[in-house]
Amino acid sequence: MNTHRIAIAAFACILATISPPASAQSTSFDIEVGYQSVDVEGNEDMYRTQVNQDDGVVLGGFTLNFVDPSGDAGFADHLRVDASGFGGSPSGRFRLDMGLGMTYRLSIFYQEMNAFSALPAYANPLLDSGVVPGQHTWDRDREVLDIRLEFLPGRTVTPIIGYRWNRYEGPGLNTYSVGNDEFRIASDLEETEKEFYVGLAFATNRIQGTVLQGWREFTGEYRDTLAPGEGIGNNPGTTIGREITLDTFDRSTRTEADTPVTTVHVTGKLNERARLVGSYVRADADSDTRMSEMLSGSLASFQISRFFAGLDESVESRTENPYWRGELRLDWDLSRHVGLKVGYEARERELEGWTIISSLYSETLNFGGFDPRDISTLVEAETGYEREESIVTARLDARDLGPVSLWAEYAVNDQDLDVSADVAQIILPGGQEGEFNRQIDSYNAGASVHVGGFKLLLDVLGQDADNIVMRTDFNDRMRLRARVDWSMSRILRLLLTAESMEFDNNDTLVGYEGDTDRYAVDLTLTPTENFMIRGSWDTYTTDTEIPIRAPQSFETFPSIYAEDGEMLEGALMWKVAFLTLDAAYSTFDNTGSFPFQLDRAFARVAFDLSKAFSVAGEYENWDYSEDSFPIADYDADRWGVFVRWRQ
Amino acid sequence: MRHSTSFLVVGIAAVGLALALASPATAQDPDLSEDCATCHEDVAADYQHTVHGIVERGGPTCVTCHGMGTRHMEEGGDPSLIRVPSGADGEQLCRTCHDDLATMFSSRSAHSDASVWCGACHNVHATRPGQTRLLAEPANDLCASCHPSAAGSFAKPFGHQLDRGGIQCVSCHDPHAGAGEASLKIDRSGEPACLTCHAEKRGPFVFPHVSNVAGDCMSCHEPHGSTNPMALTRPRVDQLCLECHSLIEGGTFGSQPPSFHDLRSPRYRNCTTCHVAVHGSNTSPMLLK
Repeated sequence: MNTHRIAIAAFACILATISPPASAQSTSFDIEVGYQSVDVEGNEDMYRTQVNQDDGVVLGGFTLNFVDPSGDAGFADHLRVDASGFGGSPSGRFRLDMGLGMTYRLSIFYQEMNAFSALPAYANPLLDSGVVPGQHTWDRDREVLDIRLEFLPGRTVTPIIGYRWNRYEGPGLNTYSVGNDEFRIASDLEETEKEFYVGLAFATNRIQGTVLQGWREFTGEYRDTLAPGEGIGNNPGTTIGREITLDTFDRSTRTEADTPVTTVHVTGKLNERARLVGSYVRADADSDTRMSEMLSGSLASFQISRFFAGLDESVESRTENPYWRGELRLDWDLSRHVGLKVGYEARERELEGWTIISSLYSETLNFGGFDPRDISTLVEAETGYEREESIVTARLDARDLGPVSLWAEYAVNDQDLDVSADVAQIILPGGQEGEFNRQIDSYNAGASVHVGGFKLLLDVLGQDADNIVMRTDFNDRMRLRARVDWSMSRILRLLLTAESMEFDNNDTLVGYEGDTDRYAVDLTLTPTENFMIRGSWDTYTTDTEIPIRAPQSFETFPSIYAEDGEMLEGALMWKVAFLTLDAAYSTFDNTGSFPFQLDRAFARVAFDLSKAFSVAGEYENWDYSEDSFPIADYDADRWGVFVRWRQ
Repeated sequence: MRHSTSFLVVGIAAVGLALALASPATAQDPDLSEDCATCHEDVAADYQHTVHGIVERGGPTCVTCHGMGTRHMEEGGDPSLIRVPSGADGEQLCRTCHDDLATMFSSRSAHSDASVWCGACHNVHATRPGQTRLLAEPANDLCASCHPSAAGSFAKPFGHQLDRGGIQCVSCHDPHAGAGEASLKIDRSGEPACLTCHAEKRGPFVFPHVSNVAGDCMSCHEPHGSTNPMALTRPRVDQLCLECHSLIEGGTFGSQPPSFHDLRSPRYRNCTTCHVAVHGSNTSPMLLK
């Protein structure tokens, strides 16, 4: 799939729609396109990991809007296209919505994203040796296409056809561990998920809903080969007296998964005040994987306790993963402003997995250097889990009681998990299989007051769980939220927000606890329509502590994590005659477990040549610095010139 | 038998066709837009550019939302004599046509709880460049105007980008849905919004890890933006892993690494050096490939 095809299709639709022109039609468009140049000082890999703007032509924005209200439109009475970001930006997005009255409605959405990661310190065992970036990097592209066509929208029955397509592909670097060495592997993958669905929406006076049946197909192809010049590994020493080297490495993996997906939503009006909403989703996934791996060199395996010269391994695996979820909810308006919602939701997911791993080690020797022979191993593993979850919810809300709105909710979430691990997965017994149960009771209440330009909102959420499944689950959690929003005419707006959360499982033997606080102040002054100035302050702190155990000594010590981030931001918009200035500056300083500072500056000056044309110059600076790893620092400038045409 | 089957097929087809061509009973309101445009010229002009403006094909007229307004016109445009929809009543009015918003999985809209109604985000009279769905401002700006802290999270260096062409708040959140976790979108197969883009993480895997078993993506990642590489919840890999994988006491899910995993060695402090398939594997019980 490429962007050009979509652009051509969209252009054809536009031409078909807007010609021949009729007096009642209205067409408007707005396009901004330009060229940008990026200059990075310092660690360009880190810049691309975080920001990833690039040199080149970039689409600032495009909107085409066409409406024919005459009632005589032949092909479409409305069409809307929005697009932005294609070119030098790491992401681009395109959306088309068009339709003709109660004849059809078409929507097309396309998005592309570049994902880049090459971090100097993350998961990098060679950092102390000065080797950067880390061994796991990637430079991959993702594309998503979503098409939906509805026939006879707004009528009693509306047939629906849809197609969704998602591709992720590109190169990366990975590692292969053997002996005491990691070898750098060049990996290339292409993963595609396609889904086609058909169904219908229906609407009568009493009942309405949607029934869709989809067929989802996933294909993943992976190819891993030894990166050039990486055959000596990263361990300068020997393993049991032998130097470990890898001469060849080639691994191919292909995974296919098929999932029929059934989706049903139905709403029925019991009377003018009560409605019953039901939903059901079923998705039963089956997948098959085949892998072949061949490698040669001077190698060692602790699994078979031998040196070896080659490995020929093949893997076949299969999974069955049925899943469904359903919900039934009653919405009952007790009075004009008071409503009651009562709902029940159930989810169930199972997994049955099977794999067989066949390995042939050639030219093996025991660690004493004797007993030459080839050795084959066969591992057959079966895994499985079953997870059931049910949620009961009751909510009462009262809206617009004069200036006040109130709400209260109670929910019970029951979770049952049954996991069976295979012996091939277990090195140390414990923690990988068993039955786990957890019930979470949630209480939520809040109020809002709205008087003139003043709004106050308070919300409290409390949660109690009778058990934990993972060590970082909570037993108790309490969250408080408050917001004050004060507007004085259109001149001033003050926004204060506060959020505080505490969570722990102190009544278990684990002893996990943490808290998070967040406060923000935002002040905007707009004394005239042509002048706006804004300032904000945002602080975020979090502290967690949980005991962990070092594998090598079984010594227990606390794992402490802290974030203490503060952001200051200012922005300005000033319009004078045909000039518009937009400027912003922000600084984010984190002094927690991973201290860093990130400053951003932005300025844009737009010059209106006429009512339809304008030109703009943009400047942006990103300045990032880490306290612990200065090799990650960068200082990047982006300059851009844009032309805008609107009609 | 053959005849009865044919009758059944023809009968179902006939009923289906009749239902398909039948439209729900909707009474068209009188169109006084020319009268309204006498004073509200700009609004009327903008309205013609919106989908709502397709009055000839059933779109709402000024009267649909504002009432007849006869006295308003007769009294020289007195604003107190015309209906200006807002609040819960305004939302009910929008739902006269947009009733399908109530069929979603959510328990209820968090925004309407807080006395924010449709008109707080949507401008039903005009459409602007880059603002789909008749939004009054760009989608991300609207969200940030009440949720500055959430917007501030995206200023952190690692995570999703909201810049031009990037994701939007509404890519993952449904503003018409419930509060907290209930605001998160689910895809058509009932799974989290993360998998809408990150489809390859969906599995199923013979050897799964965390997701769908006992946790989810947010067990390890901060989706809005993180101060830690890979948008993780911890800066060090061993810290993140060992917080679950420490069997100090029984009864929790997550195994203890073997003793040869000596954390004093850099390779063991970086668990993903070897356990590369942390999202799940079909070929390695230990998630090594």
